[in-house]
Amino acid sequence: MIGKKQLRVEIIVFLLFIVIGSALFVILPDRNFSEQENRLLSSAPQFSLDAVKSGKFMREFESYVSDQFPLRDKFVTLKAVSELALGKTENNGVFFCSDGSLIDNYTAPADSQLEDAVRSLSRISANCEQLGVPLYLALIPGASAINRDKLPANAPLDDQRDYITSIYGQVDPYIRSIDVSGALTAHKDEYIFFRTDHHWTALGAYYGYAQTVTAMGLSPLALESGRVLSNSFFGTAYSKSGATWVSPDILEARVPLYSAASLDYNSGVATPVSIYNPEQLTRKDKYSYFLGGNSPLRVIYSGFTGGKLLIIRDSYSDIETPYFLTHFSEIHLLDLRYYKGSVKDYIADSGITEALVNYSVANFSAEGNLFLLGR
Amino acid sequence: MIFSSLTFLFVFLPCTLAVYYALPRRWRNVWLFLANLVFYAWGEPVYVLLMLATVVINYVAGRLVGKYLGADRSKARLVVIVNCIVNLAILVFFKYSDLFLSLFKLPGLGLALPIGISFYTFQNISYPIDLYRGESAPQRSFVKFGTYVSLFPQLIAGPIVRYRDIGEQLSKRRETTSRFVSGIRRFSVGLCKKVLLANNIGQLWELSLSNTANSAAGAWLGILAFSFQLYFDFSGYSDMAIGLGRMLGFEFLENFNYPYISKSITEFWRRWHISLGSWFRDYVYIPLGGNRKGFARQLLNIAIVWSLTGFWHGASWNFLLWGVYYAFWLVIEKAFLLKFFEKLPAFIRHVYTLVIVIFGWVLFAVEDFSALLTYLAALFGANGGIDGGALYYLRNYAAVLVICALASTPLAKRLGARLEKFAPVLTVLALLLCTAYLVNSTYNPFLYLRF
Repeated sequence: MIGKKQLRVEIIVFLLFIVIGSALFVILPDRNFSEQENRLLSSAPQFSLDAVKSGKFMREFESYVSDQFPLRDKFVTLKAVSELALGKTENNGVFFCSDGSLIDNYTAPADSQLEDAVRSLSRISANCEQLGVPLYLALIPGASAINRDKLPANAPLDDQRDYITSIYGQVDPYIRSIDVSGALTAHKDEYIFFRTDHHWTALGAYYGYAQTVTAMGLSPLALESGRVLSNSFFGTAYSKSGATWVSPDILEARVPLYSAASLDYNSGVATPVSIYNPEQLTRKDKYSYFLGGNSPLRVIYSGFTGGKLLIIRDSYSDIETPYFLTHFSEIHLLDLRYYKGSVKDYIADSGITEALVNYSVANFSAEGNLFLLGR
Repeated sequence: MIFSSLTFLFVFLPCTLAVYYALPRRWRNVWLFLANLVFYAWGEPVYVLLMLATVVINYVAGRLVGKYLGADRSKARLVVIVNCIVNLAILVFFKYSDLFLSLFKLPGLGLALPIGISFYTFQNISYPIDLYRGESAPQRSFVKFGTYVSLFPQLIAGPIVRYRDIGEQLSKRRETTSRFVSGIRRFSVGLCKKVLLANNIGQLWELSLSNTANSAAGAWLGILAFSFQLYFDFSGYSDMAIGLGRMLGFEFLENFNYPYISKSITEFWRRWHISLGSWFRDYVYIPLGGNRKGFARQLLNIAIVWSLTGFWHGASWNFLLWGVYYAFWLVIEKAFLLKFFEKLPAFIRHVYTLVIVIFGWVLFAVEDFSALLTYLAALFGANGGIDGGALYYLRNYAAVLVICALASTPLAKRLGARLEKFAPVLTVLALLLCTAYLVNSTYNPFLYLRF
């Protein structure tokens, strides 16, 4: 039998647990931003009768409690460790791979997304043809496609290369499709993808770039040996999976980092910005050393001679763009998530000589704004 | 609010308990009534008015039955009937009107289902009936009655706590150390069942349900996962309810008794959702005549009760189908199967029961009829016997499945009894782990900076 004393201990332990949890929540200062989750956290909700009546107050209170919960990131790791102990080979949509890398799951979109994509690409292709500007399409597969052999046995995920094949097979022949997948596959055992992030490395981006400029009739820069920018980069797959036991990635540059003037058109105003952000190397999001940011439009004046390249981009382009500098006098980076004007007008008005749709499959096949391509 | 949330565990529960025990006994029901209303209003604030109206209606009905019972039984009977109709009308309006409207191709009302309405409606129907039958006395205090109807531990997912089982506890209950400790343990067990087992294995079911090309192995794995998910989800809620009740000094009746170790379907229904089965027995089956009016009538009564039981589970035709499915097996068992079983080894009876029950969950789980046919076809190998996906999921969920299987038997309880002297440590570990899973479920990293 258990004595009265132990029963009391048990009550105290239980009450301490819930009271300490709530006390820490009250005492610890609220955090504004989570580096781990790369987002702003909820703050205490405003109390008003209307907010209570509509339930808004309660919903905001719940997300406030969970966002500001003490040791939030540590608890996420505890969950990841527990899943690992249960023999799981994935957590929160990230696979634990044989070589210690973390690879994002991928689910192919519905057929309608693919049809939308093809339709939008046909429109932009017709527009470019009319303007006499060559149009290139580079869809970039992620590690889940190129390094399938690293995934846990029988991992049930869709192959991004199937998506690329469907798109390339259906688009207008005016579009010159670039076989980035083939270029990466030829180097699949090299360090072309980060082990803890969903992006490609500077090396992977180099192979993509080389394939792209070759298709444009230019000869690529020679590959240089890596210059380490940071050897303690933990990326998004690390954050998502909570797998804090993996070793960090190395962020490198593989070409001379030419400096170039660039203008950022956020909210329509041109602001001079640097194309490299050394201060990001001291933060968690080190990938954003290259260009990074959420900007509808950014124009780089390289100081070299050449045409004017438009890149309709996602973040895979950030680490690749420095390679293009010596080939073009201007590089225009346009982000469809934020740029809501007409792409056709932009190409015509800015005197673009080459247009490149440069996307990771993960983003392209999840993008809901592709119709903007055709405007 | 749900129990398995950070807000409940770290805000609502400590506040409610602290004030509850700080107050003198006579104020505790008032506080509990207020806490119940906050708990209820949390999800759908407007429906707290419905809850209050429900309390008033049934309180008045109870007082009227009490008043007429000595003088004029026919009047008391009339009150019971009217109250029953009013409660059922509210339930039908909120829960089933869209389904019935869709029969006539009319647009639905799109009302959110008031939380726990299926449970508290049944409690409220039974209260005046029990008074009429002389099985309990009417509650005179509005606060106490309101506390009972809205009692937060059992409000959202049962058990169906009848007034006659708890009426006296509203006035005289003893909050003791040992009851509080057993409440903590029971609550922790329930929380683990819900957060660590049901939610975890539930992911396997989600994957299987969304896969339209399951191999037979994948489909059986999926429905096995659902069987565990439903059991641990539901019995976990009941455990948490019983545990929270004990922390507040209440004793509720048990709702689950290891249903998956049953040796017949009849036995399964004595072990699964006991409070619902006994409610239907006492207020539908026996009043209809039960087994006292001949075998044919008994079979009809079983059919009625099980159609209603099925339909109670949700406003969708598949639940009705599921109820009829059980009516069929119960009738077969009553007619001859149970007699035949007496000669069979226990092992075969276990297998028979589990196959019938697990297969029944397919009817329960897949609401859309064409999806149901697809899933049934997959179970019988329409997409092949086994595929890589099934192997992958088996490998990933093997440990969780084994833990679920063991936890479905009394073995887990016996192990718990052995480890009793480590109870404080185990409780903290369990709560830490549950917190980790709860935090993770709200964890939402963005690839791009999110403002």
